[in-house]
Amino acid sequence: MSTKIEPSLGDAKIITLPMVRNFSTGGGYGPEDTITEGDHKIVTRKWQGHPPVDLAIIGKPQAPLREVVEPRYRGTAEFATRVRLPGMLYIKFLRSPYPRAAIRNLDTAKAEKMPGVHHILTYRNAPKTNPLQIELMLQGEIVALVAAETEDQAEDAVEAIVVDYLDLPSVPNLDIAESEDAPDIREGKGNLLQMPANNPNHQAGASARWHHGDVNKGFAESAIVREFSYHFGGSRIVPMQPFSGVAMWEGDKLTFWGHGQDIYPSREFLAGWLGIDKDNIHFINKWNGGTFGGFGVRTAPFWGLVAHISKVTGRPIKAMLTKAEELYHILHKPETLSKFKVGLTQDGKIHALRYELHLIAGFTDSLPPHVAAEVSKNQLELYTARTPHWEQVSYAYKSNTPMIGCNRSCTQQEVKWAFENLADELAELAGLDPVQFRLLNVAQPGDRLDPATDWHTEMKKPETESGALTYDCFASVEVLEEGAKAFGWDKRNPKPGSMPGRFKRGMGVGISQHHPGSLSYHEDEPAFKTERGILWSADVEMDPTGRVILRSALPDSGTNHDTGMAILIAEMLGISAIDNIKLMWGDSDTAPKTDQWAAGRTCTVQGGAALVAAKKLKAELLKRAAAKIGVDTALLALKDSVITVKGDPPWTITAAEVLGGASLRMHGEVMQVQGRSLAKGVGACFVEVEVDTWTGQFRITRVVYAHDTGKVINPFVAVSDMEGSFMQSFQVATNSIPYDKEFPGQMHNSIAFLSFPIPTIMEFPEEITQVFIESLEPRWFYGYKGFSETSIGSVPGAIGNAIYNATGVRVSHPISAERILMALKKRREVV
Amino acid sequence: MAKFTRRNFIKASVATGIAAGAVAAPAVVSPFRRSVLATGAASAPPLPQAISSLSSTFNLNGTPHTVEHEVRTTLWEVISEKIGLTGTVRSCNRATCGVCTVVIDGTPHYSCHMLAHEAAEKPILTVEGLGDGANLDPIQEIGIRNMAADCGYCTAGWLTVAKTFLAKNPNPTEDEIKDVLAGHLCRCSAYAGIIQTVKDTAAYMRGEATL
Repeated sequence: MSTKIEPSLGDAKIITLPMVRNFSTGGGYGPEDTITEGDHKIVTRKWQGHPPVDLAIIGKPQAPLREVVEPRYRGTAEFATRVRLPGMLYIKFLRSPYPRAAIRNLDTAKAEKMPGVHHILTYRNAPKTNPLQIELMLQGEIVALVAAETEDQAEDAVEAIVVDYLDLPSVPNLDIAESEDAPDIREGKGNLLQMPANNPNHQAGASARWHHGDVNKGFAESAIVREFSYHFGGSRIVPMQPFSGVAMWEGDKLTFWGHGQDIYPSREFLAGWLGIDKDNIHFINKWNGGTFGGFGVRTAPFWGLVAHISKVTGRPIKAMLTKAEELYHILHKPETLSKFKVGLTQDGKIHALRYELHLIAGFTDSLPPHVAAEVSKNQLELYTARTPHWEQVSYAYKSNTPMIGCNRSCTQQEVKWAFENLADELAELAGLDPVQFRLLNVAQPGDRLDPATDWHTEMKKPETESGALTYDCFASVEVLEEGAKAFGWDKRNPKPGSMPGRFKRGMGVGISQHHPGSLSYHEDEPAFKTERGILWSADVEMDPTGRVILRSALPDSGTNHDTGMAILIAEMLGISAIDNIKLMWGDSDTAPKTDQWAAGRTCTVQGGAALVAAKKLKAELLKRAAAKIGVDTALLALKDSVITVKGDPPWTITAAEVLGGASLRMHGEVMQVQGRSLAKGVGACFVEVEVDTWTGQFRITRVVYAHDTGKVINPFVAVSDMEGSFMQSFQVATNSIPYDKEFPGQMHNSIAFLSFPIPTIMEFPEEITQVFIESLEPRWFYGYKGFSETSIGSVPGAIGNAIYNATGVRVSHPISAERILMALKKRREVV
Repeated sequence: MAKFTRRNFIKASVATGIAAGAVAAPAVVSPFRRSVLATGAASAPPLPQAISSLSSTFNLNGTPHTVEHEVRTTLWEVISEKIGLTGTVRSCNRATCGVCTVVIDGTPHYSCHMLAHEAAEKPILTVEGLGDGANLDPIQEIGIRNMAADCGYCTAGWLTVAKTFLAKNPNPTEDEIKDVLAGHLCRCSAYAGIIQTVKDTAAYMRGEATL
């Protein structure tokens, strides 16, 4: 029998929770909503905008939008590396080989005379608006750029530049940063980065402190008090597309093909580096061969230098970095040391918790988001919502290492690796099953949010004015319970390492709280006008033939978010097939200003702006149709650009007839505030491993990955995305050594994917099942929220815990065969 | 100490007549070097001088292209930057990721680590050789229905290999599929979709599945 090949969900599970749960509180509300107060809660009975009922297209598994997927298979998706222009020159870089150094002398005379060389840029002739430095603060910092006819010729010239460096003492890792003889790399101010003295979280001798209750009193009251310490070695993302950029001038107008997660912010940075008006730049970035949060304009001042050389030489120029060079230009996960002191009650509840977070912040004078920004306390919040006494003290040091920040999300594995190892150890200490321990201790719907941890309530919002906030649309219980059920957690052997034989299997769990995209305020909500935030916008247009066009300035991120947004506006406008929607994206000439996609917020904020525009378009179209045919708009329905008039018999008029040869374009906006109140997401990962105790080698045999999703827009794409999420976090758990101990300051990425291995097709788990818990979000359109990164932080801890369950040894990060073997040997010696 | 880099390896190969091929030569780089980024030092070895120009004809997807290039120019640079078939992209430039793979006379090669002149006159299959312009090849269409690409940067490389492989093995096992694609990294980890695509394409070619 012949089967039809079509999008399939395989064994993925979707569990939809009730529409509005009893504990649903807070939430934005419009003037027409019914609000019931009581128990310190604000219960929103009505849904914002559009409840997820009678959905025509949202939630149906379907292949990605043709327009964004087919060119990827044809080889025509125009990544910046694929841009090829007549007369194009190529750039190669000379970079500092030292963690910290000063240029004593630099001689380009020989290089300038070499064949094919057009221009050499150094600190001597770099533009003042985008200077190159004499003091070089990390390995890989740019010393010179050479533009030549071919890459080989440019590299010949780079090799002919003679530089005399003064090797200076550096702060290349956390050990040295916290040692007494660490060199001061902040001009006498000390390397510790601190909250300003007037900030309530300022702490002398530390970067910051948050606290609740009296932690010492809490320890005194606890039945068991223990200390724990976990090291995370740091990590980095390595997209397949080399970090790249192409510049081309026509008179004073620059066209730039970039790589990263935005259009308009990039254009502004580029204009600043070049000292020109941003309106003179046409910025294009439609296709990305991966960015993963770490690639973006803020770490790409070389784009400005490439554009400058293009102007000087009068030739288009392409720059494609090597994997070694990229290290200087991408955001890293920092090396961190997490120290805990925990007091448990007799029945295993966390009664007091002290958390010390030590990290190197990279080459920056600003506090990193791990300490300063919204996401820093997610996992702490998850484990302290029910804890009367806790404090967090953070220490972040400036270092001669790359900048830290988002790379497959920020403050995830680097913090959650520690928390999830800790939770496993505490469970064992309390004599509880690890899932039960988490159910007992993590935040659940109805738990009150503490303003001291919650980055939402720290900022006054319309929702907080009437009282305290509690967790609501938050599936912490379901991701654990449904995940455990799908996984077969009840078959876990509770005695670590007790399985007989050489090959031992073990099961582990991890959990992760993160924000679910950034729910915001759209134009129809009162807070849109009163709140300050980042403005997102999109246009939805209907052309004279009735075809719908979405204009969204964001670059793509693979095929997912453009497909997701097309589905959203198809739902709003009654379009049956998303491929009937034309997309104009990733180009400053074709779409209105918007911000940078990141953190799984595209479908919430940018998709929200598109929905606002689509809603306006539909209203205006129906209004015009009603006027044209002389009926009330309430009698009209829109489906596939045809307007049906209810009646007996019903009759129709096409959108094209209503538009009368003109097009109709509407603009929608969303105000992104720093995480709209109560917006939380959570995910859990269940892993089974098999460890060869003779060699330390291990493999992942089974995975269940459970996500708190809201309404899933397209489960088919979501399954693939979450498989990627698991594998990328698996890589972070196992193959990450950027801060070398033996040769401090060396990046060791010289041979690309050999020195920084990422999982191949061979490492893909034998079985991986996704579980989507649709915890319908009442504050946004159709009950959806972001979940691209809520679960990703749970993976490394789950793997580490599974290895512990299999072998009885707990290994440090990064997990490797060598570390497992050494730990097993050590245990045998101890025994 | 002599600097051992990919470029010097290729230059030395050119000078001595060694075929570079798809060899992961940099794997022997000593870990004790101060830095692989160190360059321009006064002690650098003299650069090999055997850089000369050639004219070669490349038979890409059945169409001949005659190109002037240096002896040291890689096949990727000729295909993508000189001829302009930009479907074949380059990532690591160190013969480790498989993104730049093309199929030469039925055998996959990493084009970033093959000297162009070695491939002259031989039949080369690139992603542009799949389908017929208007219509996708079945493996491309089946890939779309299996989420075998997310960012799509690795896609051109493995597609040509899988297509060639299926012509030789119309009923592969999952392990055989993994073996043949083990040299292709996918950072988005669409591996499940890639494996399913090859399986489904095989079934389609055997007449056991429809589109």
